[in-house]
Amino acid sequence: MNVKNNKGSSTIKIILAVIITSIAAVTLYTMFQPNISKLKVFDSIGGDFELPSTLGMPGKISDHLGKVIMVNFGYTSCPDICPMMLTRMSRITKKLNKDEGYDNTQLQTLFISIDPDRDNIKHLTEYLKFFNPNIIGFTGSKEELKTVFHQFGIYTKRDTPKENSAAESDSYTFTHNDRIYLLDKLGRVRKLIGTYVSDESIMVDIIDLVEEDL
Amino acid sequence: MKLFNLTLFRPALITFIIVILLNLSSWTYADIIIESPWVRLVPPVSKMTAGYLVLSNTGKNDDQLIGGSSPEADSVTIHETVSKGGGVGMEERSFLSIPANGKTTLQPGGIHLMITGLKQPTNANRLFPLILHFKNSKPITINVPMALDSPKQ
Repeated sequence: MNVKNNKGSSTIKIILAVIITSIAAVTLYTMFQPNISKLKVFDSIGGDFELPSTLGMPGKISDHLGKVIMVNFGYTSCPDICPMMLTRMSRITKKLNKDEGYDNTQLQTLFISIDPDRDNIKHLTEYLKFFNPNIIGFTGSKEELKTVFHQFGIYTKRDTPKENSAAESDSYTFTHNDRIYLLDKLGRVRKLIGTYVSDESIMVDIIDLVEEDL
Repeated sequence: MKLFNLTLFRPALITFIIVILLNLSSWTYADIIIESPWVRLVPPVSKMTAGYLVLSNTGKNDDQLIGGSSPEADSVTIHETVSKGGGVGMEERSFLSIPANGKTTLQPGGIHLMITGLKQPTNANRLFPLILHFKNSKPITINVPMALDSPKQ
């Protein structure tokens, strides 16, 4: 009877040991498993560039490695979409600062002008600081910008004004891509965000990329 | 006596309250009612902004918004942000229909008033004077609040 009991308790001990070891193994495995976002890497879009910036010196995407970056292309004489996108990126930055404590060591916004004729660095600096003083603006020669547009698949075309338009000739507008490119901590494009995506969904992706182990 | 007074004044009081409420939320002129107008606050260096509002036509006849003007800007034109050729661009509209008993909404990313040649920077503490011109109704002058974002956000 005693022997039988001993036998039973050792079997239980072995089973318990196996269970505990398994749990520990799985826990350790998960703990050391790098946290990788499910957002796919866009290999064919993006890449580094060097353009005159509102920091008063040429700036690059690679200056911000380690941060999650929102990149947007636009122009300051744009009355509707561009201020809407800048307002939204600033709003998201503010919310993430409040909710997650992210500052400009984790999150960076870059705005590239598609209108070098009217947007010089001084004008761009004044314009962008209104939305958020941490946004860095870029412009450049038409040739320099063309290369960057090509890298990011940006389409720009000056709109033809209506005949006898009341709008003056210097207030022309552009057709362009207004999406936000979400770049990971290695500067790779991970998401293209359209005009009507909610703030909440963008914030989920940003948090995902900030938390990612790279 | 007391009861008599109350009965007499109740309809008047209700009408009074309705008129006050209507005036708080909208500017009424003829058959066109303008609701939730706002002009986008833009950086002081910007000479351009946009205006948004809802036009309601409570009348029996269709009308058209045919343009705008402002003492604070060189021009106010009707524009629409449209998707084309893989991007978004702007197209000018010469008029905007406001169907009888219908509503037409001007909103970010869609139809808006493009305001160019601002004579002074936008400011949240001031109102922006805007005159709207219609095909049938008389022009409507409104003083519009300025905001960074749609008040609905």
